[in-house]
Amino acid sequence: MRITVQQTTLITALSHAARGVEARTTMPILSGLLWEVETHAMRFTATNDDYTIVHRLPIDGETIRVTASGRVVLPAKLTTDLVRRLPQVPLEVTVDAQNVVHFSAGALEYTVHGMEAEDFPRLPTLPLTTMWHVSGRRLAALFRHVLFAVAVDQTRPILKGVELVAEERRLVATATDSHRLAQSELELVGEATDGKLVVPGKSVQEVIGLFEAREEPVELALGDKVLVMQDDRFTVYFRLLSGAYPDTRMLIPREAKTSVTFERLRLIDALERAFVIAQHNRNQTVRLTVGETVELFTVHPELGKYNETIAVRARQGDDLVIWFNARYLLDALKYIDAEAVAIGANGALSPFVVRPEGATVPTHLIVPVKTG
Amino acid sequence: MSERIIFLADMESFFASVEVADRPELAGRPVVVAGDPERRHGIVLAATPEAKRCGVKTAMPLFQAERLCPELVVVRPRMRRYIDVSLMISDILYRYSDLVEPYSIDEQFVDMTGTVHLFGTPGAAARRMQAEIRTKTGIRARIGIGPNKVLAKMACDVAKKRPEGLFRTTGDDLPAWLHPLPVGELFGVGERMGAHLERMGIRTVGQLADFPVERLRRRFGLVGERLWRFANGIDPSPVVPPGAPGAELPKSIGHGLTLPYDYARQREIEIVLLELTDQVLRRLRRVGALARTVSVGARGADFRRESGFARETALPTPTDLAEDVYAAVKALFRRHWTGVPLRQLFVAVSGLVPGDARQLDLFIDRIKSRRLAREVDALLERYGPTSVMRAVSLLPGAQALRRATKIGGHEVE
Repeated sequence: MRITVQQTTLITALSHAARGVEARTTMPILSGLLWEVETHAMRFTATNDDYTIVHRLPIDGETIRVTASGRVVLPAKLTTDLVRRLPQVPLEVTVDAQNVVHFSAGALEYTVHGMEAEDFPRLPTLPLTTMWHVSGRRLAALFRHVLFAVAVDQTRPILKGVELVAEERRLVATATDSHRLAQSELELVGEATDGKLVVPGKSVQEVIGLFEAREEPVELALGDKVLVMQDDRFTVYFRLLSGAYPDTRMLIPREAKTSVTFERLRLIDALERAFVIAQHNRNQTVRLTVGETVELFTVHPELGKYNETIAVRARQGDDLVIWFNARYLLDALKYIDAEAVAIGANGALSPFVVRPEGATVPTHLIVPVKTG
Repeated sequence: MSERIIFLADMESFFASVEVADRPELAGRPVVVAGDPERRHGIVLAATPEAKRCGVKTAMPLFQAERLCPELVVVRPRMRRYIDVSLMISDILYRYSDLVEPYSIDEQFVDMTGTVHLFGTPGAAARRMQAEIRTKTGIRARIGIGPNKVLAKMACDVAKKRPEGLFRTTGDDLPAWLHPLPVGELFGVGERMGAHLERMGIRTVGQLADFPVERLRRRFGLVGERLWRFANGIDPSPVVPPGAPGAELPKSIGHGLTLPYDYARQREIEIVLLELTDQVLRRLRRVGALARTVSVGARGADFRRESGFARETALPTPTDLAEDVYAAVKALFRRHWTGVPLRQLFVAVSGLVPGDARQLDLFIDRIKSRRLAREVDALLERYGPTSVMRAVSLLPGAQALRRATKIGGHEVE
C-alpha cells in the first residue's frame, strides 16, 4: 500500500472513524483501525461491541492519490495522535510486507507497527431490508429530541435504547427511563416500510454527529438484529437491543385538566434558579403551583428556599400543585425549538405533558414526585 | 395526656438463650457466648442462668469463667442471628402495639397506653407477651411496667429478680422500691457520676430525689437535672418507633439465611432471593425509609473456599418496593453467580433516605404497589408470617414457609 494524502484530510477522516474504536479492550486488534485502499476508494473501519463504523473517502487524485492498494490495521489512538502532529502538507503513507507503516512528510518520518488486516473482524454480510430515507439533519434532530431520556441504569436494559416505529409514513422515536419520556417524529418521504426496532441510545449518541448538519439522505436498513445507517461517506452497523419495548402509546394523556403556556426561555431561567437549591435535593424536586398566580418553589431542609412567581402567556383549567424533578423539565425544554411551551397536567400524581405551543412534536412526559 | 403505660421487655441472657434455642441439646447446661473459644481470650458476652449459678458473669474473661465452671459450653457469637431474633421479637411486640422502640438488641420499649384494654390488665398483657416470646423463640422475657420509659426500665431491674419476671410501678410507690436503691443503680448514673454523687453525700436514689435540683443543675448542668427527674420518676420522652419522624435511620437493613441443602437451580435460588427481598423491604417500610443501594451475597457449600460473592448496585430511584429492588437483585445475582451450588444467601439495602418524597413511575403504579405492600405488611403483622405469602413460596426450594414454622432454628410442632 502506498498513498499520498493531505494531512488535514487524513486527520479529519481518522477522528471520524476512530470514535468507533473500543476504548478498553483485551484484544489489540480491536483497538485498531482498519485501513483499506483500492484504486477508486479508501475505507476506514472501526468496530466495538455495539457498533461498527465504515468511513469511505473518494480517491479524487488531489487530496488523496493512490500508488498501490493494500490493507492494514493501525493502532487508532497512536495513529491519530501522530498524524495530528504532522505538518499540514501532503503525507506519504507506505506499508511494507511486515505491516510496518511509514508516515513521511519531507525530512520527517514516523514508523508504526501495524497489524494483519486479515485478523480484523469481518463486516457482517447479511440480508438487509431498506426501510427509510431521511436527511442527516432531520434524522439527527429526531434522535436529539429523545436521546437524553434513555435509561442509564441496568434494571430494564431495553430502556437503554431508543425505539423507532414507522407507521403510515411517520417515523416515531421514543425514549424513556420510566420517570420521563420523550417522543419525536418526522414524516417519511419516498418509499417507506412499516416496522420497529430499538437501537442503543449510547451508540446513537456517539455516532449521530457524523450525519448531523447534512442534507444528504441517510438510508436506514434493517438486518437480523442490526440497523444500518448509511450515507455517501459513512456506513454504521448498530447492534440492536432485543426484547419488547414497553407500549407507550397509551401513556400520553389526550386531555389536560390544567394547561399553562410559558415563554420557554423564561421557564428555563426560573428552573435554573430553582436548580441552584433543588440540585441538592434527593429527587431534585421543585414545586409548581398554578392558582391565582403561577409559582415555582423549592426547599432544602438545611440550605434554604427559592420562590418565584412566573409570568405566563396563558393558563386554564383547575388549580394545581405538583412536585417534580427539575432536571427532567430542563432536559425537555432544551430540545424544544419554540418560543412558547405548553404544559398539560392532570393532578399532582399523574404525568404531565410538555410540548411546543400549538404543536405535538416533540412530546415530553414527566412523572411527578409524590411527597408526604 | 393521661397516665401512660410503658413496657420494657428485656430478654434474659439473650445471646446465650438464642444459642440454646437453636441447639436444644444445650438446654440445661451452662453455656456462654464468648469471643473466640479456640483462643481462650475474649470475654463472656452472655451466660445462661446455669452458667451464672457457677459464678460466671457477663464481661468476665473466658479463662476465668472456665476455671469457675469446668463443664462450661463455649459458643462463638453469631451477631447476625441475634439481630434476626431481636427483629422477630419486635414482630411479636408489634402485635401488641404499633409503638415499639428497640432500645438495645435485647431490650425493647412498648407503649401499651392505647392497646392495653384489649388484653385486660397491664399484667395480663405482659404475661401473654412473655408466653408468646417464650413459645416462639424459646427466650424468657422480663417485663418492667411503668408510667414512662425510665420507670419501666427501673421496674424491669426489679422484674429480673422475681421468679415471674414481672414488676409494675404506678409511679406512686417510688419510696417503697426505687428510693432505697443505691444511687449507682439509677438509669443514667455511671461509675464516675455515682462517685461524684456519693462525694456530695447522695448515696441512694431517694437522696438524689430530695436533693435541691438547682444545685444539681449548677454542678452537672442538664445532665444533673435529668438525673434528678429520673430519681423522681419523671420522664416525658415518648416511645419512638424506628421510622417515626425524629427517629434515626439505620445504615442498612439486611437478611440472610443458610439453606437446608446446596442450591444449584437458578429458579430455586431466585425464589429465596425474592423472599429475602420481601423481608428486607418489609423492615425498610417499617422504618419509613427508601433505599438507594441493594447488595446481594452468596456463598457456596464449602465455606472455607472462596466460592461466593457479595456485590452491590445503585437502585434506579430510591424505593421500598419489591418490584424495584428484586429486579436489581436478580440482575446482580445473574451477573455474578458462576453456577456453583450455594448454601448461604444474603440481601441487604443501604443508603437509606427518609421516605417523604418518591419519584413515581410510568410503568409501575408506585402508589398502588405501595398501598398493596402496606396492606400485606399489616396482615403479616396482625396474623403472622404465614397469613399471606407469594405463590412462588409454595414452589420447591422456597424457604418462607419453612422459616415461618421454624423458630429459633428448630421445628415447632
